[in-house]
Amino acid sequence: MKMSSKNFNRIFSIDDFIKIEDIIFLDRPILTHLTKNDRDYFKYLVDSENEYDLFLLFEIDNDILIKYLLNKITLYSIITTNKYFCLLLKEDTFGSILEASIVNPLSLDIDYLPSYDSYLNIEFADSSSYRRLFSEYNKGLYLRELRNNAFYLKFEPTSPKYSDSIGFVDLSAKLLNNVVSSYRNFTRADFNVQFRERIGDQGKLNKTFSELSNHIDPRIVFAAYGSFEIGIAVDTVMKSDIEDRFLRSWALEVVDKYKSIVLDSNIDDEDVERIISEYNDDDRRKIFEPLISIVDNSNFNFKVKDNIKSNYKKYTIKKEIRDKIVPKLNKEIQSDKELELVNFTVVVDKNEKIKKKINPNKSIFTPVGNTTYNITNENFEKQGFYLEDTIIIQVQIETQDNRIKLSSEYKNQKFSSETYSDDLSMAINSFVLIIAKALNLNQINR
Amino acid sequence: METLKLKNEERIIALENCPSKANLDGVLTLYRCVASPINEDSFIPHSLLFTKFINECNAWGLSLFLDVKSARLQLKNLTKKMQGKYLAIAKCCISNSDGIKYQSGQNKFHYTFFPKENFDCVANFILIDEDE
Repeated sequence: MKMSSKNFNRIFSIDDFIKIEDIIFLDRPILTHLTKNDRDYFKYLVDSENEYDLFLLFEIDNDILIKYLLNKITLYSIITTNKYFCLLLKEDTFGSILEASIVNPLSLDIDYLPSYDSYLNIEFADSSSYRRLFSEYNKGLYLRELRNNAFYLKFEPTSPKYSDSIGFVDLSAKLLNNVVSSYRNFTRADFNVQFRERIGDQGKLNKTFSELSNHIDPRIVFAAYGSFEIGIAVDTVMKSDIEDRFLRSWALEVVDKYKSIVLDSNIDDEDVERIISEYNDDDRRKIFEPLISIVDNSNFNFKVKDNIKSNYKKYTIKKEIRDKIVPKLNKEIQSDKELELVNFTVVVDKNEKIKKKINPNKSIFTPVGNTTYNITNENFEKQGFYLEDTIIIQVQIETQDNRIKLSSEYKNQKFSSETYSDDLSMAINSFVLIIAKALNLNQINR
Repeated sequence: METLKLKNEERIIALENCPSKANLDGVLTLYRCVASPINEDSFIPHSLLFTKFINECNAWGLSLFLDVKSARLQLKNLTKKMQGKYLAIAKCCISNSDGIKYQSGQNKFHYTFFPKENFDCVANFILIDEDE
């Protein structure tokens, strides 16, 4: 909508400015948002006397405009700290400009300025065209916030033959998998350390940790293909739905902890002492071994930086430190696989140039999609069923799109179940119940 | 029963799409920024004062706010000079028979009111106390 006026004015014309909205209207427009040549301007009524209006007209940066609309800065500060020329215009009742002069907003009479605390403070009408602007801005803000909290990993091939092949992608995916394993093992270990006393019961501890898992699941917030580089962040913005304040503050800090304790390229003796005292042998192995195997892979340089602004440092663990943190196993300990379903959310900025498209539905590392698991007496006993004989039932596990399919055969009976869930242990427990009922097992009351 | 016209109705309906929304049904207490003491001047639509607003639909009506707080917050964004013209706030209970009222502009709490011909603004708008 063009500003219309009978224009006899040779001094200055605002006819070719396009009106976007009257941001403030009180019987008549007070503050109007205009554009010209893709730049934003404010036309602001400063005084009105005897049918003459005095206006300020000045350019405003788009992000400052948004901040004003979002109630983050005052109109007072916009005017007084504006870096662009400011025009003072005198307009008559017809809308013709009679006088125009350049003014320094700082030297404006204080009466020609709004109140010091002039935040816009309005709730925008549903029909407002600015609403779309806000959601774009907020999305950008959210991504920026995530990226600021992210840690960044870079896998650089040491030999050119790796740089471009599918093998590289696969291998990088496995490496990424290792980092994430390490992170997840760390979070579980640290959670147990921090909350064992407070929560006590191991079952409840496990349950609470599972519930928190969603909140501390890492997200990929940045990806640059080629020399495989990604940013991993944990969403801190949504943490307000964790009610318990101890859990909440743990969740907010755990990534930083991981960065400083584990991803530290300069682990020294003091750090080692702390690590050994905090985490047991088994946990330390689970945390550090995945990283050690990356470090030991001579086809790659593994680099880490713990915030977007710093420089990448090669991640290494000296042999003496390694030997202390991860002592060698004396004997092979048989333990069944610890399986978890891993879901990753990918947040990517569509506007940024990434050479590879990341499909949010496909994880970029190789998940353990199909595997087997052995149900033993222990699984039955956990649910209150007592068996006389030792029992081992092999279960086929298939995971696909949030579905878990379990199938098995025992004593010529076939069992199967399908659940829509990402809780594997819950699915297994239900499956055990199905088998128990089919076998008419006796349930002992706890 | 004769339906009364709005004040300045011919000028208003001459504009395309004006009034721009349907009347918000019901009774609403709304607040207006006014000079003190209150007089006729506080209720002259700006389209009558400035030729440049002849085609500005909402300038033919009166700006009102849903509550005192939003009125005061909006005033802070006016220059001190302009605030001097609105040293008081008056309230009025407006029903369907008083005229047309609807939310207008960017601010959800801002309304435009087109009073009927016989509506006595000065008598119906009551100044509120400072601490209200």
